[in-house]
Amino acid sequence: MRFVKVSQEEFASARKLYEGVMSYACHGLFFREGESIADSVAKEIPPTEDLLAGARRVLISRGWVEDIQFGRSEARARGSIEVTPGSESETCHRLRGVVSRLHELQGKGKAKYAEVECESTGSLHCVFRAGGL
Amino acid sequence: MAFEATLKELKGAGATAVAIVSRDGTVLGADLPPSVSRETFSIMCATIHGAGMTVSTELRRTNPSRIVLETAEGRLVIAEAGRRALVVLVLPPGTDLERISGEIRPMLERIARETG
Repeated sequence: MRFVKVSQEEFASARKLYEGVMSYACHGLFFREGESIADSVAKEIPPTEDLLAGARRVLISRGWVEDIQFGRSEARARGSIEVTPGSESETCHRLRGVVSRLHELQGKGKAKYAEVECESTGSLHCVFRAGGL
Repeated sequence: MAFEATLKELKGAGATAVAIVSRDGTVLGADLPPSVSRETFSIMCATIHGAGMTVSTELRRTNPSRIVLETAEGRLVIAEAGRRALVVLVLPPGTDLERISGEIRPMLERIARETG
């Protein structure tokens, strides 16, 4: 599989471009991108490995996060590539999609996670919680 | 958040299909034909609304309170319901848009309150 490197600044400017074109609707599209990325991440995890432990390993190695911890219906990430410090609202829409889809792939049913805390707005971590709008 | 009763009321106003979606395209509630993908439909309605906001901003105008999509088969109306939600109505041809807009106003206000 081939990969391309995209910087944190490039992520931020792409997000701003799409927000300028279609406002909040792009957050839903980023979320769906994240769901697709989670499918691809899951394929990299051998069946012998725990899904979430494997996803953590892959997400860190691909540079999506510096670390991520999964709880029962919550995930806590540090150093998400989608963080833009000084933002007025949360920015990790793709990672939110990844977390939501991993929850589903675990067999826990469909869930939509909300990013309830974000490093972009000054929190220490990005926190994703199941069931939010 | 359950919107079953509100969806029923919206349909009762004369719509053949309805959806309540967040501004990022999340389906909050929908009564759509089974052949329609709820996720695709909702996110595209949010995208149309978002594009409408951008066009209005470029013209130095306020955000659109509703967007009407006209086709030979009827109209599709995307209406704002507060800061976080949109209501989408699929209307048959010949529907009195102003009558429906008046009828659904209290429902839009209720959805706005419930979604914050």
